[in-house]
Amino acid sequence: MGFFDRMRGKNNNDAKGSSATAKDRLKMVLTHDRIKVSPEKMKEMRAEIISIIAKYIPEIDADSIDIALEQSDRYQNKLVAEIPFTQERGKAPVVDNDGNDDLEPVVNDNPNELETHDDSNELYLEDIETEMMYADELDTDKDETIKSRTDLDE
Amino acid sequence: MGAKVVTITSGKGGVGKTTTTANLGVALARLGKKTVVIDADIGLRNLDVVMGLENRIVYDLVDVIEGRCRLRQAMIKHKQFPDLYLIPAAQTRDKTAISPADMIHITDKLRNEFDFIIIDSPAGIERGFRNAVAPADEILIVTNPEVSAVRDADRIIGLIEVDNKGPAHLILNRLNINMVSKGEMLSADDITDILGLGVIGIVPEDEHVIPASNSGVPVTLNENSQAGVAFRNIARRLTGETVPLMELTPMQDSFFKRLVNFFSGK
Repeated sequence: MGFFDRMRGKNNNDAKGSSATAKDRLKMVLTHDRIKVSPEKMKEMRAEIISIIAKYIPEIDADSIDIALEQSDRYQNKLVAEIPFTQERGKAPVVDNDGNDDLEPVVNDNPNELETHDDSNELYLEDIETEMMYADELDTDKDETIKSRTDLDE
Repeated sequence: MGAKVVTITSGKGGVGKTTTTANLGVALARLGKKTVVIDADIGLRNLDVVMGLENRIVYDLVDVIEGRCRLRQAMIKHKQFPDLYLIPAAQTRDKTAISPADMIHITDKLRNEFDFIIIDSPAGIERGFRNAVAPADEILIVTNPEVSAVRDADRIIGLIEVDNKGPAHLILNRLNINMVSKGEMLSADDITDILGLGVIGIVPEDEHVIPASNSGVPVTLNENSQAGVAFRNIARRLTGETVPLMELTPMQDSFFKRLVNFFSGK
């Protein structure tokens, strides 16, 4: 604050001017007036919404949740919620690309190549096993093939 | 063709409803429109003093409604404008002395004879406000560039919508363009943005207004007054004329002020 500002008792702290503050405050208070929901009630509602969502998705980031009233004009009101998940939720579920729902990543799906690598063999057998169990569940007509494969396993 | 009934209301008190009513009445009469202004603020009569007609009241609005006089007898003719009449409020009664139906009945009796019927509403949102807006064809909401006045205007807008009386128009009264330019007062654009309602007039803050009401001569009769021009423009808009909003420009800082700004590094 300059010397003359002080002499004139002028306060330069708020460069934006108080009218911007007035506008922001009015918009907020009128939004609540118009829908007849006080800020206090909004807080209550927010807590309840969060608890319901958390029942289904525990990994919500409660601290960064933003639930707010938005008004494009006096007739257009909407409740806008932004509910981010935590990072763990973002990572799951891991789905591999072999299409058998086993959640095991496929290192290499070329059987010929697998045979040449000892440590990959195990994975190959495992794959067959799960495939059989799957078939067992769904298709009883294929009992024979399953048996024969189990034989092979033994 | 029947008269247009225009109600001047605001929610908040002290924003300039009575000043607006008096000035629009005079300005319309000057445009050759047969006009009657009605003070609907029962118990707090004021339109008569602002118009300089307080010494000529014999009967009032409640006297008409309760049958103590004919409507004609309560109508005070303006000295300067023979086409302008005032129906004063009762001073010794309260809002419950009249009903919305009474107001509709009275204005219906006046419609054939006049071009404009301007009703000065009391502050508030209760009975008195209901009485004033019941017969309205058009509602003008007076507000000031202040949070409290704007909030109350919004409440009025909501109530009018429920009654299917809209769309109302805003009169932004007492705008100080110097403060707006410094960012210390809500602008007309801010207020239309917040309220979502069009402005029919912007009346600048003007030091001629108080002396005018001191002497009971509405400011619109003062040719040097910016507020006076603004009221005349609103009256012309009410008659259907297209009049652009008055250009308001902030005052240039004086040489001394600029010198001070220079040395304080602004």
